[in-house]
Amino acid sequence: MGGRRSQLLVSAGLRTREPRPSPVRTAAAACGLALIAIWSVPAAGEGASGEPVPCASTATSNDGFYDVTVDLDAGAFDKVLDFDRPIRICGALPSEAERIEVQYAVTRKSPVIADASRCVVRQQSGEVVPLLPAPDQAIQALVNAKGGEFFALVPALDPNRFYVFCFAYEQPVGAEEAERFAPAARSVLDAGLAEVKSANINAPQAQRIADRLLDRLLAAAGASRVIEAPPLFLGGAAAATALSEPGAPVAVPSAGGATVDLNTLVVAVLAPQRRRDLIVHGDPLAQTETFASRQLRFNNQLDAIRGDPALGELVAALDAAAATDPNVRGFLSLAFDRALALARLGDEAAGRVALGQASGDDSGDSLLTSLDPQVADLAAANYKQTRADLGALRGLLERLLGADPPLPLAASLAEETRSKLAALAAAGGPIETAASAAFTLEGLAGRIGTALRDRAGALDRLQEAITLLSRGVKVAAGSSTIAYATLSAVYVSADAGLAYIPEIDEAAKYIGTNIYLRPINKDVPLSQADSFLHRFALTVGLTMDSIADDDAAGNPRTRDDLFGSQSLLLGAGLRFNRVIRFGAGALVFKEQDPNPLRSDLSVTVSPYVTFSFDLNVASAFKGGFGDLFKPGSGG
Amino acid sequence: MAIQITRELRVSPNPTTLPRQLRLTYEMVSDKQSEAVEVTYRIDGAATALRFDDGDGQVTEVTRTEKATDQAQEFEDRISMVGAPNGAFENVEIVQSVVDSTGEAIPGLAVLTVRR
Repeated sequence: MGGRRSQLLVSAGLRTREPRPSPVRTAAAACGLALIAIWSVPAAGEGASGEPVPCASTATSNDGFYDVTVDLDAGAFDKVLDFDRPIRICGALPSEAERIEVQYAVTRKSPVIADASRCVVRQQSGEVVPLLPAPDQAIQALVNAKGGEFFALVPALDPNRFYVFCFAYEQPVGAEEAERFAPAARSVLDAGLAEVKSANINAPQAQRIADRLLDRLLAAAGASRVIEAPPLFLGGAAAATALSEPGAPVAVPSAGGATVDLNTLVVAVLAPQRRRDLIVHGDPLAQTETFASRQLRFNNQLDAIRGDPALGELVAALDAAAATDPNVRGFLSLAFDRALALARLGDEAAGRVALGQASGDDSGDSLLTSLDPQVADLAAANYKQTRADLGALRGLLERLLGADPPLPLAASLAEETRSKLAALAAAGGPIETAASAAFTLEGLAGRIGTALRDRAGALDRLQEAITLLSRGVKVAAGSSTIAYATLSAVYVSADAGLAYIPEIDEAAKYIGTNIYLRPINKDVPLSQADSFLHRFALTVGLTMDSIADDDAAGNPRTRDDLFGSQSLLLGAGLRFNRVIRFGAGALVFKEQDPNPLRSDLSVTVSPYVTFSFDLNVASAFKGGFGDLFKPGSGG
Repeated sequence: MAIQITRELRVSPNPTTLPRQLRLTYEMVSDKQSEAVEVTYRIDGAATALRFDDGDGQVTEVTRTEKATDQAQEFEDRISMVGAPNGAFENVEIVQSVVDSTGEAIPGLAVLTVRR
């Protein structure tokens, strides 16, 4: 299931009748009228014969439904959507899905599908579009258990709209989803438990973590909600209790009814975390220092040693002697090189040593901020080395100041200097104190590393238990289609019939165009989609018979046609049924001026009524002029 | 002069019911051959009704003295705990503080689950 989610995120606006042909702009053949524009619309039977049957179990002919097949993996229908008639959606259930519900989002402008798997649809403005029908009245699709097929009956859609269909099906969280959930769960637990400042988690803290776990599980399963699950995934107080209450083991359905005590596992994470916090941040109640404070104190101790003038004098004398005397060089290199290096440290390098870093390490990794146990381990090793170096420095001073110094150089030092050096190396003196501080820091740094490792291990076990719990959770998974647009153009049809003009008591055949104020689906009878706007249309037409009252010489006596032998009809009409239309309006023609002194004709109007038949103009062009008066097969 | 905790504080039996004498064990080492240290155990958490009972009364804090050496060594303190858990189960923090001969305090922690 997971592999297809990315496909569902594709969003595009498609027209219902795509591939939509270019509108056939044509003149009515008989009268040269250039106003008739007709969308080529397949009749109901054409679609059925020319396209593959969408779903064998639902394929019936001319039963009033518009049949489409949905591919839930691709999030697309096999054809564009029709309007004004109910739609029968057929598709194949995802494996393990048990039931399916259908809802849809409808918008006037192209929507944004924010989350295809959870069917979160937004307006361009960002506002979430509510799904229809309401969740408790969602369309229940009938499932054919044998073939894994389902079909859903959806009420007629409106034109001029964008539709996104959402399919929610009930299915258990499988191995693939659980595997995807595992790292997300670990991340949630890691971050969530890091916020807990004691070894106990309280209900609000547990609630926040449980909510995030539920979010991640739903995302991993491509689901919108949980239907049946252990308490941890049910949200609310039950979920909080599962994590925060000790002694409340929960059953693991996928593990044969075994139970797991989540709180015990949580505390196993929190205890080492709290230990680390006590070491790093100190414990005000027990007056234990922060680790940083201990480091600062150690830094000051190192500064005091490095800055001791007597030690500086000794180091300078040793350096000078070593430059010329191989015996001095040999003596120092054996054991005291690192000790003297410590005494020669600059401020910055000494600062790094106090932080538990190597003197030349400028990586900036601090065991106070890093959650990598290796950083703490390395710091512990560095403190251990520093302590050894301090011990070596103390040993060097003791030997040089001893009764039998190995180098004559020591004897040449001033008594005051020797005295100061002796104080430096004395038991409980600055060097031993600093070495003890390094010993303490080494132990604490090592324990920080251990705590981090213990926490990581406990976190793994907690995450594994929660992942195991997620297996078999029943969720409402979902997928949504791309956005489909229903027809947005007004509809124009042609009709032909008789017009009667009472004022002049004349009747004339006419041909006209009817401009509907909304899209009309000619495949849908009025009995299925009826409203005033389904029947009403504005009419523009031309008479096909002359209404002129010519004299014997062919000159109009009182009236003449507007164009040649044709006059213009402007009006409106109502469809009586799918074929017959009644209309009324004004006939525009020429009339003799009533002033006997004037002989010219002026344009005038006179009311008319019409009785007409809809024309199947598309068929007329295919079948010849004789088909012009053939009634349309629909509407 | 300074000590290291080389094995973290553990409490047993865990989980437990009360009243019960608890065994608090840990391991430490000194950088001196011998060093006197003061070990304090504190029941953490304002809401808890659990207490140590050291014979002089019910307290939240108990102190013991030990002698650490330069060889890592396990130490055990036996302390009675009394009281009723807050609910059917309660996790209680026992915070340890080991103060070495220079007055430097080293923290430790164990979590005890108490059943009603």
